[in-house]
Amino acid sequence: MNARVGVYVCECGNNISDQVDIAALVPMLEGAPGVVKVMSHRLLCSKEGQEFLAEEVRKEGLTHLVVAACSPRQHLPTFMEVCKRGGLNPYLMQMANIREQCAWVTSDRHEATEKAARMIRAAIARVVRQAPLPEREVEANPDVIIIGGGLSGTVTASMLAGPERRVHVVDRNPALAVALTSLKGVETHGGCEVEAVRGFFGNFEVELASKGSRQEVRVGAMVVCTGSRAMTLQEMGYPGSEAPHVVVLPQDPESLRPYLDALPSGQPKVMFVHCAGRERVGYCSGVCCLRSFKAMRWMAETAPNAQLSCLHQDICVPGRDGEREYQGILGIGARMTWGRLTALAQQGPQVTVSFRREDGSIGQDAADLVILVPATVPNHGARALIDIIGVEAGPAGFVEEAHPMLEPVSTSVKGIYVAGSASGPRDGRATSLLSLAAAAQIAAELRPGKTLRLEAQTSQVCEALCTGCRNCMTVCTYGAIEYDLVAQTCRVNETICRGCGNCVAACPSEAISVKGATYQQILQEIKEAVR
Amino acid sequence: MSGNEEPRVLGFLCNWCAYAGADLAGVSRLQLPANFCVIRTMCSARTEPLFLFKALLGGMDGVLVAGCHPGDCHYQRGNYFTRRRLVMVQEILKALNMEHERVRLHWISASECSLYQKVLTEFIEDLKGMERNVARDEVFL
Ligand SMILES: Cc1cc2nc3c(=O)[nH]c(=O)nc-3n(C[C@H](O)[C@H](O)[C@H](O)COP(=O)(O)OP(=O)(O)OC[C@H]3O[C@@H](n4cnc5c(N)ncnc54)[C@H](O)[C@@H]3O)c2cc1C
Ligand code: SF4
Ligand code: SF4
Ligand code: SF4
Ligand code: FES
Repeated sequence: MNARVGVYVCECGNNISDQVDIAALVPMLEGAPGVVKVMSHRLLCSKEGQEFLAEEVRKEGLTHLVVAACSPRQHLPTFMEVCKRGGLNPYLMQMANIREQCAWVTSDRHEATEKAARMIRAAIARVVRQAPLPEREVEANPDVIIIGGGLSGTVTASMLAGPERRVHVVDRNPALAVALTSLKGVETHGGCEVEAVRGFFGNFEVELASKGSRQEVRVGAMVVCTGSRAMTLQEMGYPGSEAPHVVVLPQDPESLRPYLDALPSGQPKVMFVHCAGRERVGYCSGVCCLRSFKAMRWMAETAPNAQLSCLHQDICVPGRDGEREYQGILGIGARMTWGRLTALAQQGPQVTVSFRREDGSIGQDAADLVILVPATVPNHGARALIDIIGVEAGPAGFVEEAHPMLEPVSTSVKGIYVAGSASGPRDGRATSLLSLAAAAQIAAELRPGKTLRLEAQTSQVCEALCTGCRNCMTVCTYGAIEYDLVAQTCRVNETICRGCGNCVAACPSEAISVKGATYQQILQEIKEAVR
Repeated sequence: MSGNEEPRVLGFLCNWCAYAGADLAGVSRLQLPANFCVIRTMCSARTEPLFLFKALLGGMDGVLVAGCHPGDCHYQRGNYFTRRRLVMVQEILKALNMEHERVRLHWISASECSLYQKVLTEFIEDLKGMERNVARDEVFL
C-alpha cells in the first residue's frame, strides 16, 4: 500500500504563525514524498482541533500523520490519542516541534519559515518508515513485599493491606511489633532476610531465607523500609572516645538512666556534643539537633541538678516546632558553645573535651558525662541488600531515590520503592510522610485487577545478525538482555527494557534496534534535517 | 569559515534533559541561530557514532550531542557511555585529519536554557573560525 501522509501545521493561536509564514510554508511541503495533504489549523490541541484531526485521518485514509506544532514533550500523548480515535496506530505519527524550537527561538521570519519546513520534511521522512507498534500489557500481581518492619514498614503495610492486596513484611528481627502482626491482610516473616530477587514490576519472585529454611514469595512491588542507624563510637573515631563516661545518644533517652544514677552528687556537668561523626560521613544528618534538645529537656526534668551544656556547630532545627525547642533549651540554662569536637580524654572522674573554635583555636572543657549526638548512617547490611535487589545507592550508601523532588519514593528499579530512613536520615514525621507516599504510589500504579502497560518502543535482536558478542548486555543498566546459550545470541526481555537505545549504539553488527527509533528511521530524519 | 556562509549544526538532544532545556529556551524566547536543527533521542546513548559521521558527511559543519548531567541520566548511566563514544568519534576524526572540535558533547539540564544558548552560540562562533568542512562536498551521505 502506498503511503498517504497527512501534514497538519498548527498556528497555535498566533504563537507559531507570528513567526512562521504559514501561507508560504504549506506549499513548500506539498509534493514531499508520500504527502497527500498539507493543511494548517488555528489550535490543533483544542477539543475542536482534535476532533478535526481524528476526522481527517479517517476521511483522508491517512497511513501516516505529521503534526507540526509544539514540543512532543507537551502534546505527544494528546495526538497519540487522536490517532487512536482516527483509527491510526499512534506510532505512525511524528511531531515537528516548530513552536519551542523554531518559532520562539528564531528572530528572522523568513529563516524561521525555512527552518520549520526543514523540520517538517525530516518528520515526514521519518514517519513513512515508522511501523505500527502494539500496545503491550501484562497481568500484574497486586501483592507487595515490605523489607523492614519498623516505623515506615508498619505505616506502609497498614495503608496497603486489604481484601484485594496481601502484604508481606520481612524483618531480620524475629520479634515484630504487635501493630504489624495484628494487621489484617499482612503476613509477617520475622527473622528473615531477602536472598534473591527475580522478575520485574508486576511480577517479582522474592526468595527469603531464615535460619535453616527458605521460602519464595510472589509480589508485584517491593518497598525498602530497612531504616538507618546511629553511627558508633568506633566509626566516629575520635581519640579517647573509649572513655567510660562517653556515650552515644540512644534512640530512647530513658536508656541513659544508669549513667545519670552514676553521676556524682552536687552539680554534675553533662555535655551534649552535636555533629558527632559529621566530618566522617560528610553530611549533616539534619535530625540530630532536635533529637538532642528533646533529650536535654528530658534530662533537665530527670536530673534537675545537672549543669547542661552543648557543643555544637550549626543549629539545624527547621520546621514549626524547631525554634521553640531551641528557645526551650536556652530557657533551662543550657550553655551553648560553638566548636568541632577533636578529642576526648578521661581525666580522673571527668572527661576532657577538646574542640576547635570557628577561628581555628583549640578550646577545652570538662564534664562528668559526655553524650555524643551521632550522625545517621545506612543500616547494617544495607549494601548487601542494595546489591541483591539491584537498586542504585547514593554516595553515603543509602538507597538512592529516582529523583529527590519528583520521585522521592521510587528507586532506579521500576516496582521497587523506598520509604523512611532507608534513603537518608529522617525524623518520624518525614518517615511517615514518605511511607504514605510510597503506599499511595503503589496503590495508583499497581491496582488490583488492572494490567500494566509496557513500553512499546523496546529493543529487539535480529538473531540472524547477532554474533553473540554481548556488548549490548554489558551496557544495559536494567539487565534487560539475556544471552541464549543454545542459540549463542542475545535476546531482549521486553518487559524490562525501557527503550533507551544504549544497546543499539553499542552493537557492532547492527543486530539490535529500538522499535520506533531504528537506524533507518533516524537516518532518514537526519538526511532531511541536514539537507 | 571561508565565504560568508553561516556554519550549520545538527543537534542530538536527549528527551529528558537537553531537549527539555531546548524547549525552555523557546518558552523563555532566547534567540538561537537558525542554521541549527535538532534530532530528539530518548537518551543521549541512542546517538550512535555513525549518526555523527553521517551528519558531517551530509553537510553539517558541526554536531552537538547533549544529554543529562552525569548522574542525572533518565536511564541511570546512559550518558557515561555517550561520553566514551564521543571520545572515540573525536579520535577517529583526528585520524581522518578532520577537526575533532566539530563534534561536541555537553551536559544540559532541563532548566539550563541559557547554557544551551551559550553552548550553541559559542559552537557556531568557533566553527566560523575553522576551515569549511571539506568532507561535506566530497562524500555523499
Ligand atoms: C538515636 C535516634 C533517636 C531518634 N529520635 C527521634 C525522635 O525523637 N523523633 C523522631 O521523630 N524521630 C526520631 N528518630 C528517627 C526515627 O527513629 C526514624 O525516623 C524512624 O524510626 C525511621 O523508620 P524506618 O522505618 O525508616 O526505620 P526503623 O524504624 O529503624 O525500621 C527498620 C527495620 O528494618 C529492619 N531491617 C533492617 N535491615 C534489614 C534487612 N536487611 N532485612 C530485613 N530487615 C531489616 C530492622 O530490623 C527494623 O525493624 C530517632 C532515630 C535515632 C537513630
Ligand atoms: S497543539 Fe501545541 S502548538 Fe498547537 S495549539 Fe496546541 S499547544 Fe499550540
Ligand atoms: S534499549 Fe536500553 S533498556 Fe532496552 S535493552 Fe537496550 S540498553 Fe537495555
Ligand atoms: S551487541 Fe549486537 S551482536 Fe553483540 S550480542 Fe548484542 S545484539 Fe548480538
Ligand atoms: S536520558 Fe538524558 S542522557 Fe540519558
